[in-house]
Amino acid sequence: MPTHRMMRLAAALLAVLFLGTLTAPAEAASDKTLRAVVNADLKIIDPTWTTAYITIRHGYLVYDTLFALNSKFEPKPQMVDTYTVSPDGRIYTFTLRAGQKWHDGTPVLASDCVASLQRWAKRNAMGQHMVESMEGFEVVDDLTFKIKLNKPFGLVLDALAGAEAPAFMMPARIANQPIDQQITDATGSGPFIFKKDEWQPGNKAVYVRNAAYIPRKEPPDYLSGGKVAKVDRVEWLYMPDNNTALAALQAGEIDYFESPPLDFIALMKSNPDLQVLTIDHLGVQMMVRPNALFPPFDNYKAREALLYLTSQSDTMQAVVGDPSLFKEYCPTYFMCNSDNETAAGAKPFAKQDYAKAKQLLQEAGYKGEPLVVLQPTDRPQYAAATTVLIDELRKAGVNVDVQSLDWSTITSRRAKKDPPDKGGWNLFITSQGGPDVASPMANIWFNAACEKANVGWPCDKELVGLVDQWAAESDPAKRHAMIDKIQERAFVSVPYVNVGQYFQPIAFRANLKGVLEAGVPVYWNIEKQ
Amino acid sequence: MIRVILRKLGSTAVVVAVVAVIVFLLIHISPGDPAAIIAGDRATSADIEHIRQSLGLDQPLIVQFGLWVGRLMHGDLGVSLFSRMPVATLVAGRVEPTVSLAIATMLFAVSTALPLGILAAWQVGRWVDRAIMVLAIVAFSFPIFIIGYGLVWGFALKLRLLPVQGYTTLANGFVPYLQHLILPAVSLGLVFMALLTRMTRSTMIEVLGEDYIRTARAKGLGQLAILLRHALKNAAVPIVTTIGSGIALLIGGVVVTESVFSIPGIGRLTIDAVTQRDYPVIQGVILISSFAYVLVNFVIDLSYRLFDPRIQG
Amino acid sequence: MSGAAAAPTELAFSRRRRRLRFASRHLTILVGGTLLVLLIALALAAPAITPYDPIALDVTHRLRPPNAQHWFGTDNYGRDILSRTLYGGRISLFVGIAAALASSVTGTAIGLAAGVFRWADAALMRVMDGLMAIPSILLAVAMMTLVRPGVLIVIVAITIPEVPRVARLVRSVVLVIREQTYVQAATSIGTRLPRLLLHHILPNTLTPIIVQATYVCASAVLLEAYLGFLGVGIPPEIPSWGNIISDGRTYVQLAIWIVLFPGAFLGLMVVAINMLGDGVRDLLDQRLASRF
Repeated sequence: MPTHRMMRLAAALLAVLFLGTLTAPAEAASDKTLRAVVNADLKIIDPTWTTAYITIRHGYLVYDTLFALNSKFEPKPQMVDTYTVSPDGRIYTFTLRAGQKWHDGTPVLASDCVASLQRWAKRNAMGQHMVESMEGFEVVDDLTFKIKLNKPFGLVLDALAGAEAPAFMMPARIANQPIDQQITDATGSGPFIFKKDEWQPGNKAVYVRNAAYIPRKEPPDYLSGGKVAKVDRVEWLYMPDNNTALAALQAGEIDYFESPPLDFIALMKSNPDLQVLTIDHLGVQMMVRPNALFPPFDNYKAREALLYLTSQSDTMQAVVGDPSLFKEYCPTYFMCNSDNETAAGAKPFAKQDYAKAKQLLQEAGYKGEPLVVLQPTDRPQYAAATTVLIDELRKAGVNVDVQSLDWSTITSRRAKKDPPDKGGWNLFITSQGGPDVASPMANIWFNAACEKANVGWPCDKELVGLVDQWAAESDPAKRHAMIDKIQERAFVSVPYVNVGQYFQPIAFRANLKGVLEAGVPVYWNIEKQ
Repeated sequence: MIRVILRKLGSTAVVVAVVAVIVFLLIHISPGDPAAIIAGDRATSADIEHIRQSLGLDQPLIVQFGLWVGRLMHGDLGVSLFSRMPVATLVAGRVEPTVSLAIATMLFAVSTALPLGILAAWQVGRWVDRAIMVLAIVAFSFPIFIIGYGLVWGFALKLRLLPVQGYTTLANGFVPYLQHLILPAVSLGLVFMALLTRMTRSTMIEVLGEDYIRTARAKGLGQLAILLRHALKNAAVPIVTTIGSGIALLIGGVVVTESVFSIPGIGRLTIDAVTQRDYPVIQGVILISSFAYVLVNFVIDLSYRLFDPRIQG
Repeated sequence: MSGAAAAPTELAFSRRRRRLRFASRHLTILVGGTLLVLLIALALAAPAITPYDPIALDVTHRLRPPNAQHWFGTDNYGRDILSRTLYGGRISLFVGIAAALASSVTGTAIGLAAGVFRWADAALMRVMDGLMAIPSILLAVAMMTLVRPGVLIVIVAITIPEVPRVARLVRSVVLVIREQTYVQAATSIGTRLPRLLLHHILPNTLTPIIVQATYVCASAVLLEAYLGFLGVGIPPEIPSWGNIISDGRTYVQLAIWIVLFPGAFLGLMVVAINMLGDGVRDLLDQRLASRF
């Protein structure tokens, strides 16, 4: 009878299941495992292949850098032991710390570092600028190498330490692979080792403590100093549903939430089991990017109109909500709280003025034709800021054509140089992290190099010239004095509009100690109690 | 019998081939550029172009299709554009959670729907029947994620009985495995349970009106015996059909459930791949799932012959 | 259904069944129909009765719980949930009805063609099988990434996975009717195809099509919500229940009203449509049964 057959089948199934439990090893004890929900999925493990922040964070775990920034944003030696600069500032000589080893046990050599730098410079903007001013690299011995400049370039150490796209050191055999091939071997010399066999793209990435890592003796200071791993295992979990991540944190199923939606912060602060911390005091800057190839934004007056019709506080209220998490108004292009903060040139635009915006648009030749605004459907913060922008545009008399697309479509559409009404665009919202924005050279949206600029293609040779001069200057005091001029020029040619600066705190269980305010989430120095 | 099976396999192969072509065309014509996503937000157009060329995305569509089919013939589903992991490996790592969820959901739905449906049919017209029907309609009408959030809030956050999210593999213990599956299976299963209850009830009602049931009653058999031994066996065919067509519903619902409960299954893999335009993964997954769907229906077909000896080849 | 005479051996549940059919037929249509009419009325009257513009931002009043100014509270942009819910009803209804109509018409055409023209049957059914083999959500998601999002595209994306079921249903009815003696008689006296279709075949397919259409409508309303949940639904500019719930899901713990009210309306509308479908099926079944 069917029922007997079914019962036999069911019994067999249950037997198999129980057998499964007997043969399996138990999961590692969780008090030495740190579980973190990360803000994006780690899809790519090659930091020279993509600019995605999550890959850079992965880099910080498994690789080490020659220099690292401290809390004053000064580059401090990390893998380097001592260094000298020739009196004319043209020759930098670096000596590595002794005894450093790659994850596969082989020693770290100067030739490895040079190979890594060469690979990094092929893709990184700062690196490219540096290499353009260089005569070449020279390997002196196993632990020493030189960088030889033939033109002045004052930012060598900053470039090597760069917070948002640092030069990660890898074995030469990996770094020397062709640049158009993705690295698939994550061997580095950092405080953690990537467990590639446990990597599930779209779900989980696992790191284990590197017992052979030799941390520096100094206490940790931002990204510099000693990087001591105090947990045995770090698991990165990607959860597409923020509400699930919040509930998991509340229930203790995860320990660390990298980018909680800003509206959750108040709720989490009131929970005694959780702690909220701002580890990044520079924060994020949101920007409106106009398309300078086509009318009306090919005319500087129309771009200036954008400065008048946008409101940082409205945008930030919609994107962030909690006033303790954003700056009511930040006049500078280069991040408030940074060394380069200045109010030069910003005064006329401090207050929203729709009438002036309308007038400027008319002067720029705008006659009411629809302007294409790209709005992402799957990036809530950008979508929020775009909604505010659309509202502001309409109040300034602009006819808005909203294109709601998913991020994948937007990234390919914004790269097109077609006219807006034929598959192109006029405006979109983007953002960038503090340390990059604070530097006129590292800020990719600030670069007004016309054809070679990033999408939007702002074209202002004078601005580019001013930034080049700034970068060439090796005296930090003199460099600082040039910032005002750069910003004043920026307010005239408007490569983009700053629509707000906000801070993204992290949240974690209260039993975690040693969470560092390092600008980016880093997992050394943290222990679970 | 063998001939029947072979013929069926042949036609399913055609179906799968049709699916393959549709899917390939669909996703390659869609706007959106995986190279741009790979390059990241801060990349320049030159970077994106480099990546596109390295991945062979700049070649004509027909060439890309030919390459893909060629690899398929060798059993090679290709590698992900992003992680460079083989599609087969990616899918294999995600099968266990989805299959576990599907089985748990089925078990929950069938084990609750059959008794409820039979009870409703037996008590047709009474308030028990009414109550069950209302419950079924309500369960059927609310979106899975709303039910899911409600269950999580109640059982995981307030009562702390079950985990909020995630999936642990069976190898790490049967109890945690089960605990992680309960809420997702119930969220997804309620819809299915509702459908199955209604179908069971209506089929049982029809069967109970048949002559042979009256004969059995006249012979003096008890209600329960009639219900279980005679009625259910004959109602089995349409019920099993509903279970079979419910599988398509299941796969769709699995996608949403995996998203809410953060279960690393095939549903999430596919959605992620679609939004990122990871072509090899999308093609591979849809091909595999169509194949699986066809296979399951094939098995259902065979099971008819188990239940109803009247059905021939 | 064989004659259920009042013989001494008639089972208790046969008698109850007859009584149930009569009562529930009318009750389910009544309840479902009233609920649906109410929801439709609210949706149609939305422009007249909503206090706020559904897309108007008010960033100074974000995430307010239900109060006197905002009966259903506000969302993370400060938009009024009551207005958005009522406007969302218009979209959901439109999508549901349009998808039901479109899939019914298309499915019927294909089903008729497959049932009547033997040579077309195999090919059409293979394609239908192929479509059914791809899970409907995945198909819809894939289609949504194809083109620029819009209400029309969502309707198309929801309709296409539903067509095969209607086609199969119609085809199976046609196959049965084709074998009926009166049809064969009609053919033998030379009745032309169009007349055959119109007078004999089509009327008998109407009941299952109508019943299926109501279920498609309910399923379309739900599918729109799922597409919104996955981020590939109707553009966010247009308030639809799927969008509102999808936007609001992050705030389930903070501001449950954003999800609660549209969710309740969504559930009620689907319940109403399903009940209506059930009632209609019971009603038409009776009449149909008496004709054979």
